Formats: sequence, C-alpha cells, structure tokens
Amino acid sequence: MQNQEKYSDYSVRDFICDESFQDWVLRPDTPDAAAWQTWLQANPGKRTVVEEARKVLESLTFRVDRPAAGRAQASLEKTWQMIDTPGRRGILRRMNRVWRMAAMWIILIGAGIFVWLWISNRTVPVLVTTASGQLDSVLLPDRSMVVLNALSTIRYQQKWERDAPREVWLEGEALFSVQHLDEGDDVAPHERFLVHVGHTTVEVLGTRFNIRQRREKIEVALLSGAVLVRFNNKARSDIRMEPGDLVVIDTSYRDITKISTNTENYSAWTRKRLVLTNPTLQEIAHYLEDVYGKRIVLDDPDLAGRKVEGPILLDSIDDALFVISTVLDVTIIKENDTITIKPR
Amino acid sequence: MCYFYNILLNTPWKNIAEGQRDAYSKVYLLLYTRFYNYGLKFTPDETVVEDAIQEVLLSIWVDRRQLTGIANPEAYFFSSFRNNLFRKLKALSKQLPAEMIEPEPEFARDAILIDQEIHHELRARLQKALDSLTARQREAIFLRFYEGLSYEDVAEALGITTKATYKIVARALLELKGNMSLPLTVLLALLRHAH
Repeated sequence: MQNQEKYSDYSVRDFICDESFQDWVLRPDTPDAAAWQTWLQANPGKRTVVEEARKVLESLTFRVDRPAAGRAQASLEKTWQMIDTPGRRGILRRMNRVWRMAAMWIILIGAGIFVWLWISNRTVPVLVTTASGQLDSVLLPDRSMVVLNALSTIRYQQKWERDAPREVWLEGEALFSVQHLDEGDDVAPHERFLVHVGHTTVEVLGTRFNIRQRREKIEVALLSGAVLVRFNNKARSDIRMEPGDLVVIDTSYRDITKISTNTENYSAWTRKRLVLTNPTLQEIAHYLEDVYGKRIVLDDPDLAGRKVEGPILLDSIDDALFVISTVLDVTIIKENDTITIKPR
Repeated sequence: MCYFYNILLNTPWKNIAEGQRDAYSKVYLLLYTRFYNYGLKFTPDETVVEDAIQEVLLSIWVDRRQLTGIANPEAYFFSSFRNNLFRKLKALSKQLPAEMIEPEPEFARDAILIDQEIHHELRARLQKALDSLTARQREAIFLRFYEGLSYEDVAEALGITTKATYKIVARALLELKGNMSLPLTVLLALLRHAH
C-alpha cells in the first residue's frame, strides 16, 4: 500500500480496481492489511465507499471443480514411481521430441513390416460367392481371370506356392481365362492349373473355358487353348478337349458326352446378356433357376417342350417372364421364391 | 471466496530445488488440486486435464535444479500447465469434424457464479454483466480473485503484459460494478442480508 494520499479521492470504482485493496479484501493476512486498517481509521468518511467496493469483490464466486478423493494422492504416487524407475523414463526424457518421434515411427514401421510378412506368408483361403442375379470377377494370384456367374462359389489360396500347381475349387458356373505359364519343355508343377468341380478336375493348359455345374450336371466348354478333364474315379479315362468342344458329365459318370458346338455362347452370361435362341420353356426355366435362385414350376408337363421362336434375352428375370407370358400365352404366378407357370 | 494456497508456496521451491521429496509431494498435491480446478474450466474431460497436470508436475521434479532460475515458479507453472493443456486439447480437436473445432479452448461461461443468497434482482443484473465478459476476462478474474495470483502473475500465466491484464480485469470489474448500481443503502442492506 504505497502512496496512501491518493486513496482519499478514490471512488468505489477506483477501489475495486486497486491491487492492494483487492489483496486486502481477498486475503486478510496480506502484508498491507495493517496499513489498510490504519488508513481506514484515519479516513472514516471513506468507510461506505470502501464497504461497497469490498462487497463488489466479495460477490465474485467461482465454480469449484475438485478431483475425486484420493486422485491427487494416486497421481503423486504414480509420479514418484516414474521418477524412481531409472532408465526408460530417463532415456526418453533425454531424447528430444524429434528423436522420440523418429524412434516411435521406426518401431511402428518395423512392427508393420513384420505383420505384413507374417500375413503374406500365411496361406489364407479366399472364398468368393455370388448372390442371386449377381456376377463377380475374380483375379487369381497368378493374374488369371475368373468371371463367376450368379449363385456360384470359388475357393482358392490367397498365395500360390512356386512349386505347386495352381488350384481352385468351383461350385456353380465360371468362365476362366488362365494365364499360360510356359517356362521350358517340361510342364513344371506351378505351370499346371487345376479346377476342381464336384467329382471332376479340369486341368488347364492355358486357355479360356467355361465350367457350369448345375442340376446334377457338369458342363465344360472350351473356348480357346486346351484342357484335360480328369475324374476322381480313376476308371474313367481323361478327356482332352479342343476349342469348340463341350463336355457334359452327369454325377454318376453314366452319361459323359463330348460334342462340338459354338462354345462362345457359353461366355455370353459373363456379359450378362444371356441370349437363348429358340429355347424350350424348360431350358429357360433351368437358366432362370440357376441364375436367380428361384424355383420354377411348370404346372403342365406339356409346357416344358414349348419353344420360344427366335432369341430371348434373359438378363432380367421380370423381363424374361413378361416375354414368356406374352409369347407363349401363359399365366405366371410369383409366390416368394417359387414361380409357377400355367397355361392360360 | 478467499482461497489462498500460495502463502504456502513461498519457501518450498527452494527446498524442491535442493531435492527435498517432502516439499515436492506437498507442492504436488496443492498444485494438483489447483490445476484440476483450473483445467476443468476449459474442458469437461478430466483425463486430459489429469494428463497435463501429471506432465507439468513431473517436470518440476525432473528440472528441479533449474527452479532457482525461475523468477516466479507459481506463475511459470500455471502458464506451462495452461500451454500443455491447450496443446492436448488442440491435438484432440483435430480428430473432430471441422465444424466442431474451436479455435482456442475457452474459459467456461459458468465458472464465475453469483452468490445465490443475493437479492434476485441484483443477481439478475450481475448475471447479465457476467454473461457479457469475454473468456479472457473470465479467466483473468478467476486467476486474480480465486487463485489470488498477482496482476503480474496473471499476466505471465496468460502470456500478456501486466498492463493489458490490468485493463482486462478493470473492464470486467467495472462491468460488474455498473450493474450493481442500485441505491447504495438498498445495496448494502441486500448484501449485508446475504452475509
């Protein structure tokens, strides 16, 4: 409390802004307290002004946030523990920020590489399944392409070994474009490409071919290159296919036929423009069942043999059914997953 | 009102610098409570506040030999706690969507209260005055009148000049005073009644 004379002229506003006065109000034991007491006794006329200024300051109250009981103590103990654990903490503190960051990144990147190596060295099975009406393309580890038709599944290992044949397992229908690996006269194991489908294995010798496994029947259509069809039943001899060949195998091996046909038609579905030319209603029904997963019931056996003259586009089940109902003059009843076709 | 810890804090700094563990523990607990209260005025997230407290308080011991070189350790550590907390809050807010990021942590609006026992009319006026204060004014008022820091210390904690601190605090106080301009006799009666 310096320069006491000035206070004689002080208003309330002056007092509340005065640091020494504030200290006296806030802190009864301030070194200036005695001086203020003396001053006030000498200036009784200032008492009301001082009192009002004091009330203004005292009206200030603050929200107090207190830590939960024991929290400060716990924090202190933890800190002592850190202080008393030499080494780690000391080293960390001595390294400056940049180095600490660098060390952290090196550790992170190292861990990342380790995990990546570990994952890439594992053989992880890959499973691709298509839903009703859906196609999917799959790029195999050797960059061979597979187009998977609706309601089909393909399974293979994410990583193919250098010294083992390439192998995939198929259910349903898929068109393969296989990378031809030819590194010399002998066929090295990794140059072989095997498709397992049901009881049959199709061995590929670099090539485009379609496999369709639907309704107790496997059809292999070769578009280009060469494939060898082998059977799990060793009594059956292998079938070597030429481009344009279609091999149809039933589950019991009783009926194995090989015909020459326009096998390009077997890839039409990959463009999702399935065109059947002069098909019977039975053929159409089968295809719709396969691709859209519906059950199609022909109410009258005579319906099965009825033909649609000309081409019919089957890339939408609703469109196809509409065309059938108009062209063949039939009634179509849809009930959940069952479609019943009746003569009108 | 009247909460003066810092009387206790006059000698311990020297003792800590000399490596006295008891002195450090005592200061630790005291500053923990004060920093906790201060920090929670900027964020409701006590984990962040506690992390900042622990880091700053740990540094007191680790760098204890440099304590003697710090003119005003109390203000210095208030400032370094504030900076540490702001850094953490900024880092956290970077994870938020852009529209939720606040440019600077703000001292809570509801941190300064008005005595509930004060006459309601006066209380309403004071509340209005409080609402018109800026975050910086609120913080300066808090540091000066709750923490009892000197104007110089407040200036150091806020990283501004002492002169600016005087201005900020004076403007805030006069704002409050201006809203207390009931006739003095009435005012005194009301206030006395409240106490």
